[in-house]
Amino acid sequence: MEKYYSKTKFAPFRDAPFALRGALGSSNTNLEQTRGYTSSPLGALRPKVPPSGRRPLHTSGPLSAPVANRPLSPHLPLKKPQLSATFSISHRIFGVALGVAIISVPLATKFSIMFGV
Amino acid sequence: MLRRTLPALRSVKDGVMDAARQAAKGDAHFPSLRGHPAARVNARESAEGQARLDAAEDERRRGARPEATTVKEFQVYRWNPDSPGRRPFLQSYFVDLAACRPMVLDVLQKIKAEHDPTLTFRRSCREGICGSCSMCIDGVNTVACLKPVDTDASRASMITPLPHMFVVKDLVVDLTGFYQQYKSVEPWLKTKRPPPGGREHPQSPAQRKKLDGLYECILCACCSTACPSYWWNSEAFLGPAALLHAYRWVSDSRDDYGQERVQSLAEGWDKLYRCRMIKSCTATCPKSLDPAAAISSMKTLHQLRKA
Repeated sequence: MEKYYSKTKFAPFRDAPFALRGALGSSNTNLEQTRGYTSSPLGALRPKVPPSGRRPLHTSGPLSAPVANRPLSPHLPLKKPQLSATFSISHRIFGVALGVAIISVPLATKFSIMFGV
Repeated sequence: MLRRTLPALRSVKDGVMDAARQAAKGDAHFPSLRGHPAARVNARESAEGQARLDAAEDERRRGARPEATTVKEFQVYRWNPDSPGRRPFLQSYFVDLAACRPMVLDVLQKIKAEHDPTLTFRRSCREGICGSCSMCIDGVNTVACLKPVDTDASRASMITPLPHMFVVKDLVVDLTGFYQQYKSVEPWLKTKRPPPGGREHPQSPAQRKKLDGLYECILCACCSTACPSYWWNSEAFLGPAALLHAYRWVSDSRDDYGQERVQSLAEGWDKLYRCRMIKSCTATCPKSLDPAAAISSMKTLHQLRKA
């Protein structure tokens, strides 16, 4: 019986020295800043409410304490290429390419007349 | 049946024939899993994997192929907050699959029990109903308890936490923002009138049927963390899981605030319309739900009301 995910072996960075560390690897922003919904100047005066509110939500530990240096888990190089996502990104790429091609026709015309090419 | 991966270097005819054959076979073999393609794939993979393991063990015992091994390498993402100077790394563990139960969660528990007690991961129900053990296995987000181990011992499996989330430790990520987003869709019944009989809001079977495919979501966060839109805008965009739950309440016949719910989601453009129909959520959902369809129906509702 043929395996379901037969030919698409997942090994994009097998030889790389752990390419997952990623450019976005360890950000130093703390949780309050990254998850903040408001940008009011009064925000600093407001008492610090943990993002989970008063009630411990899913974690009873001190998750809401200022958490620095928490790494971002690896994402893009790790994702297995799937049909839907590949169509989506290629749709966008071809759309941009088509837009550039279309806009370059009048531009080329204009500049060729301007410089008398 | 859905073919969810890109068939590399195969002719179209092969793909179609394979799909047809597998669909027929799947129907014959797992009738109780009808309408649940993800479970069906898992069931088939698991059966095949165990058969392959048995064959390898048998060959080795008979001496036919002494190099046949059942020990497989697992590369697991490690990061410890107590030594923050150290960068995250992949640690390799070698597990004998013949002495282990079939799912990835079993492998992780074996590693924790026998190799390395410091390995950290969430798990609870081990049957795919709590959604705790969601992680990225070989590049696809699933719940580890429902994902059978790929028994091909010649290549390593990679287990990492859910993508693009802040890591608390090893395979545990911080889901606080995710739960906040779930909370922000107000996932409870809101009515304008009191219940007709005084006690409960009745619902016809047809109305109840509309909730099938929506209420099963276990909030494992696999879909949200598979979504590139959510990766880049996790503060603004609500993510497929929260939106699926929003649609569950929008399509509930007992709820009187469907219009307002859609309206509030569509406000500010970010919460709903950041969805670009990439459909990674649908492709990765371990419960075979379709968050992308739910989001597009809410977009349709909003546009029709605007018109």
